[in-house]
Amino acid sequence: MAIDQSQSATAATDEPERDIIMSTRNVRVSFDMSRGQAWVLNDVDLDIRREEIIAVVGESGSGKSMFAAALMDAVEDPGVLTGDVTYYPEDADDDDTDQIGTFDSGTDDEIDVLGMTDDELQSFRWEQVSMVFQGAMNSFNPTMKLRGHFQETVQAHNAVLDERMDHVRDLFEALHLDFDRVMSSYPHELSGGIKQRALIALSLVLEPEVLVMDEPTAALDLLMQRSIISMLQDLRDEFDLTIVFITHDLPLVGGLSDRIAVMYAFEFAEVGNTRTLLKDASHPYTRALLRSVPSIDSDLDEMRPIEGQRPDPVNIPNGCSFHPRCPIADDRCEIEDPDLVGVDEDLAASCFYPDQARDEIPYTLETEQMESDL
Amino acid sequence: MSTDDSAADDEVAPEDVTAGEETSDDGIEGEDGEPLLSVEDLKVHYKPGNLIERYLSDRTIKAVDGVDFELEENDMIILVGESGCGKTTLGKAAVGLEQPTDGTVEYKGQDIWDSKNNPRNADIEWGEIRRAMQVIHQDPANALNSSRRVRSILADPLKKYRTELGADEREETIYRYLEYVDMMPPEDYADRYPHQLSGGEKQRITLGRALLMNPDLILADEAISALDVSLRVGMMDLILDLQEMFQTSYIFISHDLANARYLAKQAGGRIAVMYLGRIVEIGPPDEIIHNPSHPYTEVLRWSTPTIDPDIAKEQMSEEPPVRQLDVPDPEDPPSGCHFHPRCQYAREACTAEDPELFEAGANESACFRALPNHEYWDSPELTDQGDEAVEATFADD
Repeated sequence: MAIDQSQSATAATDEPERDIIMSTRNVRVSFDMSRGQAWVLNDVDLDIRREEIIAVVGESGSGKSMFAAALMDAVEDPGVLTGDVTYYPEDADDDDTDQIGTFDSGTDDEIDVLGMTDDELQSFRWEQVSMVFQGAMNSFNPTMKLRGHFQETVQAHNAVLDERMDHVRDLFEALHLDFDRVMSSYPHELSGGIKQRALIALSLVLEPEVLVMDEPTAALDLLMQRSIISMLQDLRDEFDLTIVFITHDLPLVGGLSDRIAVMYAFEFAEVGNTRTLLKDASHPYTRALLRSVPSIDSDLDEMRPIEGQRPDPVNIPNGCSFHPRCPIADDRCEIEDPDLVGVDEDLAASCFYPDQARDEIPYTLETEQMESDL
Repeated sequence: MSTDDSAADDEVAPEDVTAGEETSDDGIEGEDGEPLLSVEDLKVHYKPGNLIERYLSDRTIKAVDGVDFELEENDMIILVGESGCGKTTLGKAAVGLEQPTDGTVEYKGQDIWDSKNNPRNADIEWGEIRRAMQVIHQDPANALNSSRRVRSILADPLKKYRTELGADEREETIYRYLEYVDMMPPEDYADRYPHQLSGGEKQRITLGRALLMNPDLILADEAISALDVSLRVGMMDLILDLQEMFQTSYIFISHDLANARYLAKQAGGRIAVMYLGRIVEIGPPDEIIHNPSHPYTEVLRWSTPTIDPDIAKEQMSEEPPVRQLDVPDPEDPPSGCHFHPRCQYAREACTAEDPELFEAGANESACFRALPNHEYWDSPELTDQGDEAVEATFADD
């Protein structure tokens, strides 16, 4: 991995480093509702590093899908997206890079995603950043064989069909799919697991740099879910991908991701290296979440739900948005909104009292001792 | 138990309610040794397609195909399996919401469908059976009438089954049950409409509504799956507390082995693993998780991620413990043991004979490997073994 972890003590430094592929600054999404203005993304800063797998974890309604939409400027009306989303193409001034589709990054070494024209955006999506949605296997056209879906996509981007189909063969191999059989099938002839894998291949047909996946395994069987997770790691290694994996399922990403970004109330509560974040989280929400999710072999006596309720997007609490549910919150938390600041090497939390959180909110990942094992 | 808890709450403890309500069937209750619910060789077969297709074709889907289990009072069984394994159908058939194609469901010794079809000979009336077995569904938003207040939603079961209560008593009872399900202050929640409640609160209303019927058994079908991850443990704890208080038995359906383990461990219940319409392994949670004897249970265990990042990273490189990823067509299940085409230990014997549940330590397992002297051990291994088979079948369902 080409990630310089030592230098990135904070997840969101002001000056993006060279190994960053996408960054968001002050990204906000608001909806006008009859009850008032709803903020479904509230000042989100994040750097996505080249060729990493970053998991964006949050509960339902935490804003994680909106974050995915914001990355591609795909927030639907009447949502209003503001802030900066910047994309750093690889080797911008290197003429050797083969252009596959219509997207031309020119000589810029940074691209303002939110400032693109519709045409630019159309080619930016799929060719640079691609997305796989939850239950997206149902988005295939039922009257069209899978081959047609691939052809349509390739032609819409003026790419060379034969060359792309060769690439699809490689992708299918990595995803353990039978090229001839799947391509000549109608969607209803294929199982959910095959369709979802074919869709992942389709999203990679134009060799995007970044793949954003929103709960890509949620509607699948456990075994298929786990198998796709393993395949994603192979895909990343083989095709030099950057993967943004959005999920509500914290245990799912422990083995997959390099970094985890935890969302709470439409912003990032904690961002950091997967191992550090899971082993010794520093934000009270992350710690409480880890304590509330029963895992297959963890000690059950420590399990506690998080008291209270998630905030209403129209009425986000002042100060730290977690303070009404936080056991260590004090007056400062009610007034002042903490920024995401570095706690450890490669771990940042938006909390004033990370040390206190570690002391006062215990959780354990340790596996229980089995009497029968002794 | 928890008599003190409930007695402290109010002068009418739930136990008293039970006693008052069930005077009619005291005679039957007296029979000792009769399990609360007994399911025997239960089969639910469907004919797929529309009316004409169903009439013309002889295709059947065996959603549940020969399941036996018993449930005692204050017992809990958690049905675990992948989507399409028949766990919901089994649950529905067990509480009388689905008429089985074959086999029997007995409530306190009374065949429930016999009670419905021959009411004259029935010891326990069908209506009483329906009251004693309640359901909580997965999505509470669809289980509550959105145009009625919580108060009137909860008054319905009382109006139907507790006709002796006056309006004031009914209101008191509603408030008391709202308190049981942690909705404080009850007067406030009683006046709300479902859309004014969060997902967790709605699910607690459906739990309260089920408990108002004073049931002996509650079928909870993925009752926590629709809730926020951080609230699931809270809902499970509430169910466990109320189980202790009301001595209700539960059939809990879950696709998540981690949650199943939590419930089963705290309640002292059993986990039953289902595969293609059958229970393939049943036993206490520790044994199911740490010492599974059916190969399919191993697959479920492998598929459930561990949260510890060090262990999880190691596990990422492990190959799946199956020869074939996809579930076979339930319309045409494989011969012999239904799991043999995917099973990593399958041998020739597995293709010929269909295993029943055998004792395997503390568990019961439908696998010949539980029998030390079975011909399985002398039988040749299946020829399509090995990695190539996995590769090929990865794509080929």
